[in-house]
This record gives sequence, structure tokens and C-alpha cells, in this order.
Amino acid sequence: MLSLDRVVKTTKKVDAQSAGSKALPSGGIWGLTLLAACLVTAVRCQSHWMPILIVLQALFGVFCVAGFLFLRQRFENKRSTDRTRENVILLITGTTMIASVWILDVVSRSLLESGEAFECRLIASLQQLAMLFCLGTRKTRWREIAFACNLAVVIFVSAISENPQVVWLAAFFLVASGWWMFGEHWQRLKPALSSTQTESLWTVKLSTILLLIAIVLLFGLARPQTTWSALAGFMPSSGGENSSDPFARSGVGDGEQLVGGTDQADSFGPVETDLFLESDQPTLYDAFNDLYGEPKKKSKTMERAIGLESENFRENHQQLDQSSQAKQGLSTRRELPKTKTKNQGRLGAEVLQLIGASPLHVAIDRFDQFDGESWWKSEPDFQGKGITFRKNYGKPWFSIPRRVEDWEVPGREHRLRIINYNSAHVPMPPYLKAWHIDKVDRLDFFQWSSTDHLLMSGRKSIPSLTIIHVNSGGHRPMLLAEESMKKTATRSLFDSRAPKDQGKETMAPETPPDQETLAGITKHVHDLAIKYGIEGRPDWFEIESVVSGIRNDFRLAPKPNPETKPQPLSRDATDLATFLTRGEGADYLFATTAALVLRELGYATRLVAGYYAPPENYDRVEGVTKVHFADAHVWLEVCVENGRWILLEPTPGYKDSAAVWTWGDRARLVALTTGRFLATYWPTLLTVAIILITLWGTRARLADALVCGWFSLRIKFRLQCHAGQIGWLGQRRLASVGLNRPRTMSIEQFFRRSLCRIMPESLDSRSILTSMSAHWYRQGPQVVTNAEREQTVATIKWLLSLSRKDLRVHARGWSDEQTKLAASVVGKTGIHAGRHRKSKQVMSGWKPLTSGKPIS
Amino acid sequence: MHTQNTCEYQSSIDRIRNQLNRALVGKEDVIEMVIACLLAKGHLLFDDLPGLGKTTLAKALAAAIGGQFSRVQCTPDLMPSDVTGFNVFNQQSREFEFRSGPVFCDILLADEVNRTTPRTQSALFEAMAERQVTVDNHCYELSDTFFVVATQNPLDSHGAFPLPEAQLDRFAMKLKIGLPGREAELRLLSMAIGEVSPSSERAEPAIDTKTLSELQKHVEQLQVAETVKKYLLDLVDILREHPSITGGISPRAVLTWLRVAQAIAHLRGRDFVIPDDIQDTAYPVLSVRLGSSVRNEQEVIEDMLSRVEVPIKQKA
Repeated sequence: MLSLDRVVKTTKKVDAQSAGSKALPSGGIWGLTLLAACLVTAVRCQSHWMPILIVLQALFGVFCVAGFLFLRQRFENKRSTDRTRENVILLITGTTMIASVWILDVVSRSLLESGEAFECRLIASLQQLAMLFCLGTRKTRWREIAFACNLAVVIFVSAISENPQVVWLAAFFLVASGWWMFGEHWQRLKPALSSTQTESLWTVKLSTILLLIAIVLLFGLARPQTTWSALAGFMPSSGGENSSDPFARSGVGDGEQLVGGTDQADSFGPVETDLFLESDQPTLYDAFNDLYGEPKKKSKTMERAIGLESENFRENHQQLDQSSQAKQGLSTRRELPKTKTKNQGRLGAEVLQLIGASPLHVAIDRFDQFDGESWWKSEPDFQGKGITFRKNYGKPWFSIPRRVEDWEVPGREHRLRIINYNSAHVPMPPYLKAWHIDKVDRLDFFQWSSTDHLLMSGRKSIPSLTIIHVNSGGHRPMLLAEESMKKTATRSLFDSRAPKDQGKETMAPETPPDQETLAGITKHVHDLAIKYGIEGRPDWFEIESVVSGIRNDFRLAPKPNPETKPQPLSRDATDLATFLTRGEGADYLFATTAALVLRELGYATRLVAGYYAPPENYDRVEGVTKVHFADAHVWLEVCVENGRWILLEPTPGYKDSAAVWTWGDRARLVALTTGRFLATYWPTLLTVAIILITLWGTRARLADALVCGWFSLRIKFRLQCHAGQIGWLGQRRLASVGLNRPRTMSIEQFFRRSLCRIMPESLDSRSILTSMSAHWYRQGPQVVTNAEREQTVATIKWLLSLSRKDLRVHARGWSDEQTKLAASVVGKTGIHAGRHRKSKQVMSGWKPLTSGKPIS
Repeated sequence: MHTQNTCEYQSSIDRIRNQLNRALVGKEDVIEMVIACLLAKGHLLFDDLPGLGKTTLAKALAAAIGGQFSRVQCTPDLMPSDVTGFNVFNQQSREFEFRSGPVFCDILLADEVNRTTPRTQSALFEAMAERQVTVDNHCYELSDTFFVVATQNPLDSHGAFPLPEAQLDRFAMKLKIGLPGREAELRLLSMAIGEVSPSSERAEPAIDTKTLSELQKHVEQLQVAETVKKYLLDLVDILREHPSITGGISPRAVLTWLRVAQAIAHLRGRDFVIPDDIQDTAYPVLSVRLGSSVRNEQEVIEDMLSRVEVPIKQKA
């Protein structure tokens, strides 16, 4: 009969024991903590722009934990009773780990323009706290706190993440934690039970077997596909099943409505907003509708469309409302719209959505002519034959046949979903290679111009919800340094407007800017060119110097908020001359300035207008980066000698989305920068290095000289010397020739085995050792006789008289002797072999006099 | 006065040492430990093979301190009364009289102590721990300088009664004499055939029991600095938490260790204890306590010594 009282008492006893010095096995809580850490790291990596930072931070955490364990092991070896130092180190480790999360964020925000969400940082800190408690598992209470923290972390993580793997891992964690709690409880009960009766664990075994059988039946015997699809409906954000519940939030019950139009324009469905209101915007597809009922209202304007068969017809397919007209020119002088024409709503301000890596520059238009105030573009020479067409896995792909340059990094895939975009210019990521729109397979649908414009010919706009798959590229700045740039023969900053261009494609005023303004701009640009220009270096370094100089020297003015009442802007506040004077302005002024300075230096430049998809706009729920009208952005391109244009981003706060830095490139950059630094400062560096090496090489000799000098002065000026100084001095002098005293060897033994052997007979070594020991270990007032004092001074003098050569010879002999002793006496134990590796001379032979030998 | 006493003590000790060195040739280190054990008021256990001079050393020690020497050859049929003594009925006086056993002496040699039964061993250990003997509800005090030298043979375990740990704790230290060196053995041979006159002839006692008692009290009062005490406790902590040691080290053992270290310090001419004394007495003191639970006590003790830093601090 199992007495409950006895169980309770024994449980308390076991608790008391476990709270003592001996730690319980903590493998389970470690496993759970590591699982939680993996979950947190995975979710943070998912939501961070630079996952490598999270990985690095996780590695730092591992390093901290390993360091703590190492130190704890060391202290355990040394002193097992004193836990104060261990607790202090635990506290420091934990604080460092938690602080690393926040410091990393601050650093990455300020230096790398990348950051992490607050809740992610918070949950990471909590997880580090759990790790901290897990490290201090000497107390049962700490393990429980660690478990509670881990549980909170996992629940929170599974709530904010929609990755199915994360959810599965979280479920696994919960199951494992249930087992862990069961095991913990059982472990406490076990001593009480075992002392009274032996109870078999048949219930546990049976439940485990049943669970395994259920899993095997579910996944093995049943068809996996069926199982997965059955489970899929009950998982959040799984895409839903086939039923349709009007009250469903996300997940179960909203299947068919949630099949988002991410791949095909005709497979959309989410009726969330006014996005699908009736619109008379012409569609991209023309499908024959033979359904009964009231015919839909046809668009009055007909544009070029792709004919589809009737099975492609979707009744739901409706069109967007119309958006405002985009301007085709770009002026450096702008004003805010006077009033808002209508409430555009949340999606009204959304131009397109990006599926894929962000940030990304999406170019719409390019301008290559500038008259001092306005940019305009030369008449594009569209040529359809520049595009090739082929089918890839059944999908129609168009591509621009261009050679892949050495500096080019191909293969960046994105999808652009058109939302409220009213232009026939196809939005293009940098270095566009190929693109594809579902079912659009006619070559005459697109036109490619010599000025890198891609136009959907025969249409006024690209319909909303069209999904454009684009295959673009990036550039490797390190390899661009080897390219030579295209230079213009005449270094004219400003172009004169041809009569046919006037007022045609620009908002620029009809009157060109006055000569005085132009002269001012020219002067400023000239000064900047002198400031940033680098003579005798590869072109790319000069370009980078200009871009980074402008990024650093000018400030980006905050964008005017269209929702607030527009402030009337004077002309002075916005134009280029003011920007150059004040050093603050909008992004297009940065681009214009950079373009002008580069032109001044002889490079061919052009301005690009488009959108910048910032990572901040990433919508986790929809999995897209939303690009709004407010994300309109202007940057520039510079021309390489072979005619290719390179993206440059001179505006601070915007990242060069096309630049790809491989690890090799980074290493090369570091090597290059270091080499440049060395080449500049080599005499100074060489001198400093020689001095440091000399100091390092002679540090022992220097320290010895200093110590000897100090004691010589003491002797000379008859300062008081005590017997304790003999030990200190002798130890220092032997250490200077590399013979260090092991910390577990007493200084008396060290002396007896080393210096006493070469002590002259005039000095009584036994008496010296006794006075030396008395100085440290004898209590009460020290009575030093004159004879002892003289002996001390004589010993110090003798120690000072020993040359380093003598000491070294002696040390070497002593060391050899000890090695022999080690081989013969210590033998296989080798206890001291690994503990004093820092000593240059071999100290492994030291062995305490456990047999009780008398003093020699 | 104090200095004079100290000098006297030193000369007495030198005399004892010389006498013992003459009796047991070439074993100075063992003899130093034996004297330390005597000064620390401890008891000694020799754990070694037969014929190595255990009895010779015990006899020489008894002769050197001028005390009464007894010897008990422990056998399985040895009764407690054979050690402690017993009451006999005196027909003339019609009363019981106490006949004291061999334990009433200054130096008792209990030869092959592990051969006798635990019952007899217990009787002996009461005398060792408390310096008294209880016979028929009557306590008899033993000599102040009562000193037991017990021997045991590690080889023959058949019919032996190994001493339990609790009883082993009564011994201050365990020593092995070991084989003599070649030169010492040569001299031994020469002495045996009369080439060299044996130097341990009936000499005068080097010290009387009263002086020995004073000496023991003097040793108790030797200084031990705080750092040294802490060092000792650090070493003990290591042993107490050592995974291969179950019993640990008792506070009585710590006291004994300190006392032996004080004695060694005195033997080395100091009136204070230094960490070297602690280190040097570690093996003899601890091996008697670890021997039964740890197979490799030498390694454990060396490990312990190599894990605690020696305090070298200038006193405040």
C-alpha cells in the first residue's frame, strides 16, 4: 500500500536534494530550449531582411552558452563550493545575450538600414532569458521558469508565424513538453514509489504504442495525399478547404475564396475591398461568353487583347476603378496637388504589389535630356524585333537577347501584380531579362525601345490584377570596377530642347530657366565634381565616390504627406539650385545632382523614374510588398562603354537593390581597402609594427629589467626590504626566462626546487625559506632581527646578480629533471600535464610531496 | 623561557629521530611522519608487507620515548579482555580485582590488527579514541601519551576482518614503510653478520613521557593562518564532492590533518603552518580514510592538490 504521506515527504526530500549542490539531469529542458530557440530563429529569419544577422546572433548566443559552460567547468575543477563567481558569470552571460538582440537591431538599423520588428526582438529576448534560466539548472525552480518562458515563446511564435513548418515544430514542442513534464513529475515520485512498491509503466507504454499505431495508420496506411489534404483544412492559413463559411477569419472555412491571384490573373477571388468594383477599363483577355443571363456591360474602348476560349471565362472577373493619370515628363520643380480629388482608400493609393525579394527598383520611365530644370526623354525608337519569344514549361516567356556581362548576376525572379497602374509602360526591375504574363503569347504585344522602354503596344494601360513574372538581374560592384564607362565627348550639362519636344512630354514650364540659375547650378556641380572626382582610378571608383559623396553630404527632405493640408511651396524651396545651396531636398534632386556631377566628369547618365518597393511595406499576411504612389522614386543610371546602363542610387535611405555582394566580392573589397590603406600609411604602420614586435619580443626582458632596476634602487637607497620580496623577486626573475610557478605549487616548494639549488653556501636557504614563509603565514607582530634583515638584503642582491643566462640554463636543467621525474613518478596519471600549458618550461613533473619527504 | 623550551623540544626531537633512524635504516621520511603522528596525538597504521621493520620501528619508538611498550598479536581468537584486561576474583580479599591488559601502556603495537574479530577491534578503538577502557561498567584512564601502532598485511585477506571506515577514522595516518634502498639494505646485511655494530643498542630514552606530553601540547598551539585554514577546507571540499568518494571526510579527519600538519611544521623548525605542511601530510592522513572506498587514492589526492590554488598572500 502506497502511503501518500510518505510519497509527499519523499518528494519534498528529493526536491531538497535537487535544490542542493548536485544538479539533476537537465537534458530534457535543454532539448526543449534548443527547440524553442530554433523556432524563434526560424521565425526571425523569415521576417528579417537580412537573415544572416539573425543567424550570426544565434551563433553568438551559442558562443556565449559554450563560454559559460567552459568557465563553469573550469570553476568546478577549481573550487566547487563557491557559486558566487558562477552566478556573476551567468548574469553577465545572460545580460550579454539579451543585450545582443537589441544592440544588433540598433547597429543594423543605423549601419545596414535593416531592422527587426519589436515583437520579434521581445520574443527573442524572452527566449534568451529562458536560455539563461536553463543554464542555471542547479535549481529546480529555475528549470520550471525556463520551461514557462519557452512555452510562452513557442505559443507566441506559432501565433505570429504562418509557416506550416513552424506550426508543426510548435506542435512537436508541445507534445515533447508534455512528456517532459510527465517525466519530471515521475522522477520526483520515483524514489517514493520504488521504496514501497514496484509499479510497471504499462500505461505509459500502452499509450505510446497506441499513439505510434495511430500515426502509422494516419500517414502510412491511409493515402498520404488524402491525409495531408484532410489536415490542411484545419491548419491556419493553409489555403482553406472547399467549404465557404461567411464568418471564417482565415483558415478553415474560407477555401475557395482565398485562392489568391498570385500566379494567374484569371484565378483571383478575394473580394475584400472596392478593388473589384465595376470598371470600364479594358481587359487584357477577350473571352467568348456563352452563359445565359444579362450580358455584362462591355467596355466602350477597345484595346489589344488576347483571345481566349470560353472555358477561360470567369464570371467573377471584374475590373478596377480608374486611377488618376500619370504624367509622362519629370520636372525638378514640383508642387503638391492642391486638393485631393477623391478618397482613394487603402488600395486606391496602391500601384502594384511585389512578390519576391525587396527592396526593388521598378523602373517605369527613363529621361536622358535635361535643360537645367526639367528632364525629358528622347523619342524612343521602338522595335518589336528586339524581343524573342519562347515557351518555357508551357508558359509564354518574352526575353531581350542580351549578352550576360561579367558583372551581371542573372536569375532574380519577381512577380509584379498590377493594382492601380495606368500606363502601358511595363514596370521593369533592373537588368530585365525576360518576362511573362499568363496566356499572353503574341510577340506584337510588346515593344522594346533603344532607350530601354518596354511598352505594351496597342494598349493605353495594363489592366489591374495582371501578374507579370519578371526575370531580372543585378550587378556586382566589384567587377564593375574593371569595366570602363562610356564617356561623352562634350561635357555639356544641359541639353537644348528640340522644338518637337517642347510641351509634349513634360510638365516643365514653357520658358527655359534663366542663364543666371544655370550658371549657379553649373558652378555648384563643377565644385562637387572637383570634390568627388578621383584622378587616375578606375571609372567605377569615381562614380561610387560621387554617389557616396552625395548620399553623405545631402539630406533627404521628408516627403510631403498628401493627406495633410498641402502647404504652398515656393519655387525656391524645391528647385535644384536651392537643393545645391541648402543641401536638402527630394529624391529626384539627388538623382539630378548625381547625374549632373557625373556628366561634368564626362560620364553618360540618364534619369530613371519608377517605384521603389521598400521592405517596410511587406505585408506578412498577403506575402507581398505593397508599392504605393508615395513610393514613387527617381534614381539614375550610368552607361558602360558597351551601352549597358548601370543603376545608381544616390538618395540616402534607399538601398541599391541591384547591387549583389558575394562573399568573394566582400573579401576582395576588404583586401582592396586594406591594401589601399597600407599603401598610404605604410611607413607609419611599419614603424609602429616594428616597435610593437620589438616590445612584444623583449617583454620578458623589459619586465625583468624594470623589476631588477626597482629593487636595485631599493637596495641603493636603503629602503626597507622584507623577506616576502625575496619570493616575489625570485618568482618574477624565473618567470622572465619562462619558468613559471604552477599556481597549485607553493612558493616554498618552487624555491626549494629551483633557486635553492644554486644558492651560494653563504646564504642559509632553510632560514631564508622560513623567514619568507613567516612573512605570509605567521600571525602576530613580525619580529625581524638584524641578522634576518641582512640576510634578506643579501639574498635580494644575490637574486639581482643572477644573469638571465644563468637563470635560463638553470630553468632548462630543472625542467628536464622534472620531466624525467614526471615520467618515472606520475606515470600514467598526467594530472598536471594539461593544466599549465601556458608555462613555456615544462612543469608537468611537479608532484606534491605526498610521501612526506623532509627538507633537503 | 619559551625559546629555551623550544630549543629543548627540538633537541629532544632530534634525538628521537636519530634513534629511530638508527633502528630503521634509510627511511627518514617515514620516521618523520611517525614522529609527527606521535606529536599530533594520533595513532598509526602500518599497511605493508611482513618483514619490512614495522615491529622494529614500534619497539624503537617505545624505547626512544622511555615509555612502557606492549604488544598484542591479533588473532581471530583474541578476546577484548585479552586487550583491555579483566576482573579476577581474589579469593583472599573476596573481591574482584582488575588485571590490566596490554592496552595500559604508552606504546601499544597491535600486530596484524585485521586478523582479530570486530569485537576485539572495537575494544581497541575505544581505547584509541577516548584513551580509556571500560570493563564491567568501570572506566580506566589510559596514559596521556598512549600511542597505538597497528599493522596490517594487505596481501592475505583470507580469514581477515577488514577495518570498517568508522574505525579507520581513529587512526591519524596510514604509512607504508616500503623496501629499503640498496645502500640501506647493504648496511643491514653488514649489521646482521656483525661487520657493523648495530647502532640501536639499548640507548637511553631520548625523551620521557612528561616531555612528550608537553611537546604534544606545544604542537597544538602552533599558529595556523586564516589563509592556510581556508586552503585546507578547500581541499576537503574537493574531496567531499568528489564523485568517486562516498563517505567524504569527517570533521575529525580535518582536525587530525591540521594537527599532523602542525606537527610537521614543528618538526621542520617552524612555529606556524604553511601550505606545504598541508600538502605533505595529505597522503598519509587521507589514505587511511579513502583506502576502503577509493581504489586509486593516490590519484584522487594528487588531483585534489592540483585543483586548489596555493594561497600566497601577504598577511594583513
